[in-house]
Amino acid sequence: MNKELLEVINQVRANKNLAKLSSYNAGDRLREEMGFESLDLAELTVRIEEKFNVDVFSDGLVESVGEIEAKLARTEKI
Amino acid sequence: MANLSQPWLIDGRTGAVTLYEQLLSRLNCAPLQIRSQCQPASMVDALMEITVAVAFGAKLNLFDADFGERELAALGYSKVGLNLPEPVVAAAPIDLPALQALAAGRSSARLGLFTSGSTGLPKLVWQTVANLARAVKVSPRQAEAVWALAYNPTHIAGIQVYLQALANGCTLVDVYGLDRPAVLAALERHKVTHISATPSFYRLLLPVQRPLPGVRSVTLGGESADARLLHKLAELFPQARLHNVYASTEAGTLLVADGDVFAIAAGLEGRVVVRDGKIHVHRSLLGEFGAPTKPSPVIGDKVSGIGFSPLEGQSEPITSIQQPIFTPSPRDEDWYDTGDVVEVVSEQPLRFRIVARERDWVNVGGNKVNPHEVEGVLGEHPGVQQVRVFGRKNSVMGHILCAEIVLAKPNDGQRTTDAGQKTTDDRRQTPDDERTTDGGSRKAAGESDLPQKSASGARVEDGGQRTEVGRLTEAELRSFAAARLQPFKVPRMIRFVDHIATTRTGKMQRTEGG
Repeated sequence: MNKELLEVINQVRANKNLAKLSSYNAGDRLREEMGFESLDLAELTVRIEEKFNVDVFSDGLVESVGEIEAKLARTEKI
Repeated sequence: MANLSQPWLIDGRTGAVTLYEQLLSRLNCAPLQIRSQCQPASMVDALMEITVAVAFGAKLNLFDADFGERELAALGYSKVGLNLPEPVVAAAPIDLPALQALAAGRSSARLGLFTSGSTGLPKLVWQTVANLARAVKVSPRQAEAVWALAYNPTHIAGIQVYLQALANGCTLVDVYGLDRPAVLAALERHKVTHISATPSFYRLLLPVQRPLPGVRSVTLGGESADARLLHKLAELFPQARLHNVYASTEAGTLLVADGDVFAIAAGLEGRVVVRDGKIHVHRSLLGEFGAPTKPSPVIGDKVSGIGFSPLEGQSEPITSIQQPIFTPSPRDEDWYDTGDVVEVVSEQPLRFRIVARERDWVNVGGNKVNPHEVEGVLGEHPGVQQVRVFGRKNSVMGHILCAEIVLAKPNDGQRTTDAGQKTTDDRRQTPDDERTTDGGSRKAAGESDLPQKSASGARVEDGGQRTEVGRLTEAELRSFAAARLQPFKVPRMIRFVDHIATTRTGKMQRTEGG
């Protein structure tokens, strides 16, 4: 699990008055499990971009936290 | 020709169906209830009320469903005063063919819609149905369409989609505000053939899981669409023609596009021109502003920048709508400068790309936000001394709204007790172990290199509600704004800074990197 990513997710959740998560599963879906709507996803993208310098949504929408992790990992290798 | 047992509106979420028959019985009930001001409770409510106005040539002032008490009060209305029905006696019963003709532009109805105003408050613009229906096409082929309604029904784009559907007796499927699985399911289940929506709406349907060959026409408007999105949409809707349209809240469809190259819509040559590299619109195309009795705006009274029209570009003039014979006037006061900058690709015929849209406006997923309005609201917070609101590019919503805040010094009369109860609560909810550090975050290319120190010199933490400086947090300011503004107007990134960047003329900059 990527702790920095969890931190960003919790920031967005806190702004929606959702409870802080102590962990996530790679299969957790951003909309269903994380409770994010379009504007939240936009915010999440910007905050991830600030932290990791990666626009995770640039080539289409990602659905799960695991897909974000994969994109971050891929970028780190490059 | 539609028949009465055909669905008029299908709720994309629940599948609930309202038939044309039910619409007609609402129109023909006695006494007929008419509302002159309507903040709709639902999509059915909104479209019924619009239909009543269209059918009886009434004046109807529409309010966004999510306008709060404060926004209404600022506009001079109260929730109590809205939605009051007045019984009237209709002159004669109305049938479906007559209703369709009225929706195609024969109606004398006028609709009052709110656009983001240049001075902060949303501004009332009165539109005739004749003008709103200018891009409506009526034909036997159009009558076979099943339209998805992806726009707010109290906004011009939603009304234009509705008039197109109603004029042809088509079924509408309400997908406004639905999430992706629900939208995709509704498009398939109800055999939608025509969609008109913002690029942000379409982006949310990606990545392509499986193509939807039933969709024949896909229209994009309200924001610029990049080539990559158009390419993906061609995958998602393999049988559809893609249309990219361009219009203003005042004037309806002005331009039509092939990819990202635009042309002036047929029949509007001479009334929409490129002058000094910017699009100008003649006043004869503009709606009326403010009270219905007021004349057209003076030049410079920018009520709204270019917005969107949801219908595909009209390929031939609509003959059923009477338009005065137009002679362009050379006088400057007759032209409205949209502020949209173009790059001419060819002079004959005139083709151009849109380089920049009216700079001050921030387009969040097709909703135009006036930063002045948001700045006004944030500036009311006693802890805020100065504020700058601007857009930042975003791959989900096109743009995301950001704010920079200079905090009032404690001796500037900061009264956090007035509005700061939430501050205290929010801080309590945030245990110390959650405190983040800047974490060596890297900056995106072109991002502003703004001071990251607070007014008090304390290090500003990286984003989120942990951006706590003095007594004010990001979460508190967001709650403050959310209580007063529609959701898309609430800044999603708030940063506390020492000073606000200004241009050389002393104006605040609206682009990122201030």
